[in-house]
Amino acid sequence: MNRVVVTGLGVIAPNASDIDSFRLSLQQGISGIKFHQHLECAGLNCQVAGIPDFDDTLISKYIHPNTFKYLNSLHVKYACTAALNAWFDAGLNIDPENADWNTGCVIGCSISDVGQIREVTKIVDNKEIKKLGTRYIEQLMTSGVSAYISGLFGIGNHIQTNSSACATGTESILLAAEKIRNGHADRMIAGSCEAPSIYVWANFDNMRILPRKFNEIPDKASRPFSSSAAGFVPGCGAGMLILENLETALQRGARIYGEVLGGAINSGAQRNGGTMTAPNREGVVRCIKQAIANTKTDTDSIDLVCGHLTATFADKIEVDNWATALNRRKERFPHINSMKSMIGHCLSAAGSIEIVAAILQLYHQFVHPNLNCEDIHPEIAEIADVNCIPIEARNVEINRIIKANFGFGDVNACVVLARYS
Amino acid sequence: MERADLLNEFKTILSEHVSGEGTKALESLHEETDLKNDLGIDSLDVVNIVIDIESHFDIEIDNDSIKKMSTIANCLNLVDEKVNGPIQHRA
Repeated sequence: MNRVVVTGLGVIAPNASDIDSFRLSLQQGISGIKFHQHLECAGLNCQVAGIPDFDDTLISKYIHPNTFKYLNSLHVKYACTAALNAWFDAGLNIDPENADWNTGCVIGCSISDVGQIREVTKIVDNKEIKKLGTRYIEQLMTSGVSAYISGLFGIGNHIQTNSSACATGTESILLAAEKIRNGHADRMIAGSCEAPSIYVWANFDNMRILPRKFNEIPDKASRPFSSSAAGFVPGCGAGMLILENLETALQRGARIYGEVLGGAINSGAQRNGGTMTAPNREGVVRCIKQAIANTKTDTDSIDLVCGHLTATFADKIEVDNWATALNRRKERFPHINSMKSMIGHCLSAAGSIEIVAAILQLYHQFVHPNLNCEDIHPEIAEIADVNCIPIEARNVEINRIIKANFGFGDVNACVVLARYS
Repeated sequence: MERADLLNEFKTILSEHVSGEGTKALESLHEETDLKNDLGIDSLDVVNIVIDIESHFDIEIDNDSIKKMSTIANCLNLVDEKVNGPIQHRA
């Protein structure tokens, strides 16, 4: 079995659009959550969101102008930009002539750009089919995002799009790592993306799982671990990793950020408390335990848990699940943090952006702070000592990180990352 | 409609579909200009151009004819025949 390492990182996040700025935002606890007028105009009760400050200049240089002109899907633009940044960060070049048969990609997204779907339905319903032209279809198909990335880099191995709600990003990285581990590819672009969409977010707003009382203080809205947590803040963006076979990475002298040891993917089967929207606790614990077993990890060696932790009532259940699966409670509980306090919940992009953050913490040896948890929920404090939940960045030795995301449909994905040695 | 007028009107339509390096060839457009090699137009763009031609000249272009649209001369012949009737029948 091949070892899988991370050699390149790219991110389009609500609080940064390049890796250096992202690391600084993580270390300084900079929030990317802001009030957005268009959410107020659309009648959403939650009018704060994490939307990246995005510039598409980079991809305009690598996508043919005739194609770029019609490319309106933001999730594709986010993904392509983050992937280009990751590719160049890994010290790789783009060959415009030849196919690279040993590189593939697994790119996740929850849905195509609903704005584009809306345009098409309006045109067809108005019986103006000729106005469709020929360029909508590649943005309607869910696999459009990996198709764009395949063409951008000329990669000819397995090109896959995955979709598993909020577990999508972690799943994409695990699926891609398996391709390398099993010897089916030398290199994979792995990550996920999500477009900003009132058409998606309005549904969560109506389900009353978004915060409504923070529109005037947006950077306080996302409150994982907190007694006053009032729901998740919607977010979007993309996170991309270049995964490589350790041997080929060493041969070309690549910088190695860290190692993807492996993990597990499962479902709670929507039984025993699990539903379309709530996890079966046994399923979550089994997923974490399976990831630990698959990677032969000693649970005492885990230095940091990067949780899913969306800032809902489910946070305390999740922390308890971690404590059960790791068999570590109170002062034995490892450090734990949630990026969502800074950027909100980026849905299908959450896992990949948060794994980019995890890899940066591993490589630069720090734990990023949790914002807005000065009032830690007492039930959480009963499970994990409050000292495990940093409110300021800590420079500590980090050798092993466990990270998970959980999604609607009762799906779970958990990955174990290690410092390279 | 005169051939020169057709060329000018076609050039206007093309300007919506040509970008990047193709714009230089568009400026000096002539009958031998190649849609793919000179203007950088791919098969999907050709269909978009056909949609605009049909709308602009109020004509219909069948799928078989689209395959012949490789040079400006091919395109103009197609539009010319639809607008002015078969070329060989003209005095």
